[in-house]
Amino acid sequence: MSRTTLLGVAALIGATGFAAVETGGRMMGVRTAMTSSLWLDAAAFTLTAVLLTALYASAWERGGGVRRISAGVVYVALFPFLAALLAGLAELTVLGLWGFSGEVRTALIAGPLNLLATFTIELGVVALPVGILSVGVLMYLARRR
Amino acid sequence: MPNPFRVPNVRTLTLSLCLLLGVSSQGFAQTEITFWHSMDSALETVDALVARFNASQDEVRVDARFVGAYAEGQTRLLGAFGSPDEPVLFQAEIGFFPRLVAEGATQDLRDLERQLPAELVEDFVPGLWAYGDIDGGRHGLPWGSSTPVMYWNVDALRRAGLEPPTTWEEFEATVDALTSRQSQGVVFVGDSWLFEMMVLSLGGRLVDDDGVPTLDTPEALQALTLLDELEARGSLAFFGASESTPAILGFVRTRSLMAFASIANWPDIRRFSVAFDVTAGPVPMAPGGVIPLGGAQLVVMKNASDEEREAAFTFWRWLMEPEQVTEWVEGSYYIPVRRAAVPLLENFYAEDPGRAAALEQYDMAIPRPRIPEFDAIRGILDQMMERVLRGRTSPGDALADAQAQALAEVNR
Repeated sequence: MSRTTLLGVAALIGATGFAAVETGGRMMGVRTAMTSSLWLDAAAFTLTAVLLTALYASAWERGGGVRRISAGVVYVALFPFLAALLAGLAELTVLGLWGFSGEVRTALIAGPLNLLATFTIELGVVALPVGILSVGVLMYLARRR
Repeated sequence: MPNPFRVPNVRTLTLSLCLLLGVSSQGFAQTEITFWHSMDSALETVDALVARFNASQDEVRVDARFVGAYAEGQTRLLGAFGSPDEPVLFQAEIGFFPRLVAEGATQDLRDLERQLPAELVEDFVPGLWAYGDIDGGRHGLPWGSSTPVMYWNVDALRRAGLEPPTTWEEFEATVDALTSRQSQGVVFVGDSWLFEMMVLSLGGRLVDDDGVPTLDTPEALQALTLLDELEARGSLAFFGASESTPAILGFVRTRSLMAFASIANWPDIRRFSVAFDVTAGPVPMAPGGVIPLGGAQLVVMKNASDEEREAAFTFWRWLMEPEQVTEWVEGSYYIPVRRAAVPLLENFYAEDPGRAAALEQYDMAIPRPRIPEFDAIRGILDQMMERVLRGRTSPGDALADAQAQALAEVNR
């Protein structure tokens, strides 16, 4: 599988992961949104999946067992921080909120902490299996290159 | 010429020893009193005040002990009743205070109260001073009093172009307008004090002047219906009475944008709200509305001796000096119980307008119902809110049921 195809699959997995979290949140009465826009949130998940896959693809393709697993664990651990950070930056830019210090702190501090809490505490039963499954698929496809 | 190095005889030695013991026993005439309190968040201030009091005189020594939050302190007190461990002075949460008095566990301090100068008594906030006057006696002494206030995320209201609500109608509209994919407009802890706050601010009462519960009034129905409708629309995040920590976490995580809590929570809310600007203001109010006081009263326990009783009163009297009241307010964020302390707190309040929120409600604060059964009625109210906001019981049915339970409690 080419690197481009792998990144395309990563984007698809990111979008699917977003749909799973959003749906799970609605069903369980948990607010999972990072921004005021559904589309911005979806874009942040998708872009995060692509960026992290680009970062760890070579480790998955050519690394040994420990390196591959480590890269997978770091991928899962970094995902909420990077996704929320990207979402926060997008929200601040789209809504023109860079001039307000409280808004900047909300986007860059509360956002990542909220998504981490959502993934681990509030919606762990959905987010963790989805995260592990997603990384497993990406690792498997990368190895097939 | 007498020899200065002469060895003293036995009589001289005995006399000297007696004199020495006499002087020493003067030092041990000090009365020691134990003081149990629940001021976790203001522990340093309590310790500093007690240390300063102990250093200021020789007659009384106060041994202050933090005995856990109010509920834990009450349990420990009940366990220590009649034993040598029972404290002399106890900080009784105001819902628990009438029960203690009814059980005869506290002393009437009326004789000591009569010795207070009239100008001191007149200087107390009337609602706070009246609190301790119960069953025809002076059983409680004011200290550590608070009022509920409204907290809000300043950035969220500014972004939505909203002003802080001053009426419950405005509050409902504001909460709905703030609710989005990201956040709910308000978080509400189902604690009886906050429900009482709503009812009183709408002009109602939970217990009438004759001590009869009135939980099913139109004001109570209006308050509970408002909470129920906001919750049903997803604008309100409800947490049970014992879930205040996750409720506060929801607020500091910006998942909820408004909240009600004691003004004494202001330092913690400020400390943890690092991700946004936060402030506090008065509770929304209907014409004629008031708010319930919170906090505690100091009581002298039944087993205290006359000396200990007077020593405890002396300590409280010292705490009531404007300088000490000021230090206490600055350390605890409670409201000043004496008006004479307010000018001394001018800078403290000017530094941060959020701190002054409780002061704006100073004159409309009234005591909570002072009937012994109110301690149990609080539990009935907590359960009632759970049934409505987490269950399927209608506000009207829940209030009728709560009223029946409260009446049964009073008539038991």
